[in-house]
Amino acid sequence: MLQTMISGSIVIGTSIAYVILLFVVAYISDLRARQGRWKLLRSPLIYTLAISVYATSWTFYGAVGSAARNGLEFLAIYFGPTLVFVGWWFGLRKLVRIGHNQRITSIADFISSRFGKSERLAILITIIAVIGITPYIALQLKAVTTSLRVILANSPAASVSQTGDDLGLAFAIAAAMALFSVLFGTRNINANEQHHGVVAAIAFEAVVKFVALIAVGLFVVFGIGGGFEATFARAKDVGISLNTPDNFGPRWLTITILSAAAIICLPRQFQTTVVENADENHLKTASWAFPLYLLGMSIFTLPIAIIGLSVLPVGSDPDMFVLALPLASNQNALALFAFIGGFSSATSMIIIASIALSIMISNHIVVPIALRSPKLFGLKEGQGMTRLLLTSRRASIAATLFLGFLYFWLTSGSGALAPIGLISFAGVAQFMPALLAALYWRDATANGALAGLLTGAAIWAYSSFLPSFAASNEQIAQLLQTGPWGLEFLRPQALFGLDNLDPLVQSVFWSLLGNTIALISVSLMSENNAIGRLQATLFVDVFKQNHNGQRGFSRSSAPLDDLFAMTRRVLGTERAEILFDRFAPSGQSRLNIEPTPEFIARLEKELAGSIGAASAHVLLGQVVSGDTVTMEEVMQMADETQQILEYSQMLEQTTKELRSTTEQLQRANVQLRQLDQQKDEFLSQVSHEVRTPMTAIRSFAEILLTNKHLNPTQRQQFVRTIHDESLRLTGLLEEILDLNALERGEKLWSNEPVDPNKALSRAIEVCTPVTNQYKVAVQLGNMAKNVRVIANFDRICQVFINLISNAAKYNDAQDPIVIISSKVNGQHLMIDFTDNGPGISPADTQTIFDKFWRGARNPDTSQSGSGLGLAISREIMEKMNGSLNLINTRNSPAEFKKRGLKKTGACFQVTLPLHVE
Amino acid sequence: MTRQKKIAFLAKILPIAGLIVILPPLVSITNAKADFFGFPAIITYLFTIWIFLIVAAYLLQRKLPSHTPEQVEKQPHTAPSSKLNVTDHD
Repeated sequence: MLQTMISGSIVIGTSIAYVILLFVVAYISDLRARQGRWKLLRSPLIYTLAISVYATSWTFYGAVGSAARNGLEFLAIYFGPTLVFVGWWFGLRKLVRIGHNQRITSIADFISSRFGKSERLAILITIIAVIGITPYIALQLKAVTTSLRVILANSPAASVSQTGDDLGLAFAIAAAMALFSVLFGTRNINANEQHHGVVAAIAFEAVVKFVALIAVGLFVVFGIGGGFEATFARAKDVGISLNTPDNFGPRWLTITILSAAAIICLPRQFQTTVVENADENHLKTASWAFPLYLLGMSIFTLPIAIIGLSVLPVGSDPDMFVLALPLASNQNALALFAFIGGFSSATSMIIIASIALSIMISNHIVVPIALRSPKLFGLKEGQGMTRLLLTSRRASIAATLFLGFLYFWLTSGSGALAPIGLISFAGVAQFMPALLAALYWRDATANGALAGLLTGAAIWAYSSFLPSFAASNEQIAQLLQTGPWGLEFLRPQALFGLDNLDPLVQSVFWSLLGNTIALISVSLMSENNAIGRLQATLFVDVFKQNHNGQRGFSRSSAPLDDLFAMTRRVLGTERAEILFDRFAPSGQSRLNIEPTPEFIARLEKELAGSIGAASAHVLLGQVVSGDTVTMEEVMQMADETQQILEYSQMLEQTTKELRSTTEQLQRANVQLRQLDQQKDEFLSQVSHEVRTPMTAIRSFAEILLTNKHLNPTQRQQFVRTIHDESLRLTGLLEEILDLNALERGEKLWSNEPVDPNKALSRAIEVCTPVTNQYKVAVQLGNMAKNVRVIANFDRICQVFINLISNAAKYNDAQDPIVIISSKVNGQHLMIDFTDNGPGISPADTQTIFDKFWRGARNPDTSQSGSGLGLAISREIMEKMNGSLNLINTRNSPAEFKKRGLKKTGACFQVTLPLHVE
Repeated sequence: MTRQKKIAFLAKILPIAGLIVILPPLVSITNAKADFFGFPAIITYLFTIWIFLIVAAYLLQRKLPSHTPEQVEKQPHTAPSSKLNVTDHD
């Protein structure tokens, strides 16, 4: 095959021209930024393309090499980032939000800010990052060096051996890159570490490498391979096995996880994704556009590997197929374009990585030292730090690139690009546990993060970083073979004797396991300080807060129930109800309140009065945006306040109880006094009642004793009087005893079915002497027939007798009459005793059932009873589940009209429960 | 679940679903010696998932709410205390 050479001057000239173009792009962008023309610079497209710095020369060259050696494994490198970006709503969004709120400048700043702004943590992360990225920078140097030599020598096979010239070349490239990065990245110090010019240049480079790779891919597949189908048909011949189950073993998972971690943890990715982010909504575009970019970069990877293996001579470096295939087909222009594409992917990575690392080194290592010993750095009081920062950043960039070169030198000749990149990935993946804890675990502490990072980094350095020097260092090679001090189970790539497991899988597994265990256990053993706790809340609950002075919550979806529950927890039920009722629409319940921003702002103020402004805001914020924090957590936060409130409420409760007890006692006291008075009155009434007959008895007895000259008739009369009065006294005393017993609930009798008419006729019979004496007619009206009531026969007779004799005694009408009638009403029998006497005056209706009450208008008081009859009768009726009432007789009953009588007196009604058979 | 919550839920579950389908045993099913219009089945499978994830992410991000940031006053990143201005109350 006839081949034409591309002269070195053309290659070098094109490269220099390309770099100048980058400068122009960066310069114009910075100019536009300074003029305030942000529109294009701050577009989601530029943002996405800047993130595409993930695709370095590893992707450009190394992926094909990886595909040629390990089949589909290279895809895992892109699946990890794809999953992270597709799931931006879960993780990246939070990361970017915090980055904005906290003005984060790097991943070291992020993690140390979260853990109480721990300086030690920031330094440790910076050191790990520098060491971890060194192989990655070496990878770019190696790729550029090799590609340069391939395109100049036009011999893909030659790259297998490395000559001394390579070192010189690599050093020259490293030096040029350092200069380039210094000029680009450290021209000024920006407040928020955003570099618009650099980002624009990186975006431009992303386009260049993409187009170059697609161009090569199209040429290889359709120019050489004859289409996809024909290309894949060659796969078996060249020994790329797509169908081995090993493809998707532990290594596949490990690389997916590693790449997912790397897309966030790599300092340059953190820089472009979080620090350079101008607007959180740009993530929306990046969420699908970045995976799409990666997809485009990967479409031709496998076909290029297949064609390369089948077309190019055996022994060619598969990492250089992208360049070698156009060269072999005499497509010099395409080869040059491919070279520029690879060059751009390498330069973009080196620029951003070195800038990101230099920010970390200057901010977290140089500045803290400078602030402690200002004289050493020539800092004077009040002098700005800008110069120091610029100088330290420039030095850091140079140092970083020199370290990369050093690694390239020390590991010279050691294998392919992809394994080197994976070492870096495994290194920065150690940030992942701390980062996840920073975002989602409130109780993670600075000491925990420190312990985790130290453990993980140590295991990584021993099992991954150290073995990469084996090819150029005899002692390390020896160590890999026999283990330290001959301890085989501590061999770096076969820890605990696991010979069968892939070294990368082992290293990642053990380091991340150790990292996580140390993080969790030390976190549980230590406590966050105050600032650590505050930062933990600001990070973990970033979506529940409102920053930068705007205190009001935007239109919320806060459920009113939750708001009310929380308010009740803080203010207590009563005050919460009052507060909510005040906001309720008129005439409606408080459940109809719209949780408007005004309402919530008002609520916050009310809460702030109880628990302080900050707590109120955080508390309300958690309910209002109600994202991941559960109500339980909010309630727990409220609990401290609540305990105090509960205590005071308890006191209040106790006071209230005491007050009510006192009231009850007072009421009881009043009752007792009334009862005492009643008792006194009763006693005085009784003694009065008793004294009258006793006086009569005593005076007649005295007359009989002293006056011996009384005639027998007189003597007879006096003795009768004494006898009568004694009878009256006995009757009275019996009635008092009877009433007393009834009132105390003694003297119980059994109620049984009784014929009321029988009891009535018996009572009328007993009353005959009285009725005859007063000439009162007792007549029966309409009587209910064949009914039986639940009562006691003797007692019911007693009541009837009392009522009939009362009606007889107090009737002053010309033709006194008592009419008795009865009727059934529901479950009761009602018996009316109506007379045509004077009736009971309305004033007396309440008192006639009191003890010792007598009809005031009765002229013949001496003949009256004790005044206890009605009281006893009513007591008896109640004991028989019936009642005795004085009823309204204004309208003449039917019985009276029948007899032509107009005037009615009193009417007593007896109610008795019917016996139901 | 409201429509908004459902979309947010889908957005969260999408990467998990994506991870599950590229891991064994699901990936092993298509890791057969079959071809699909000239493409090996496994290639077709993985790239189809990839495209599906991209399309799903595109559709979801259109439905997800945008973040409207507060007016951030430009203040120099000088004292660390400036990061703590969240708790002071106006």
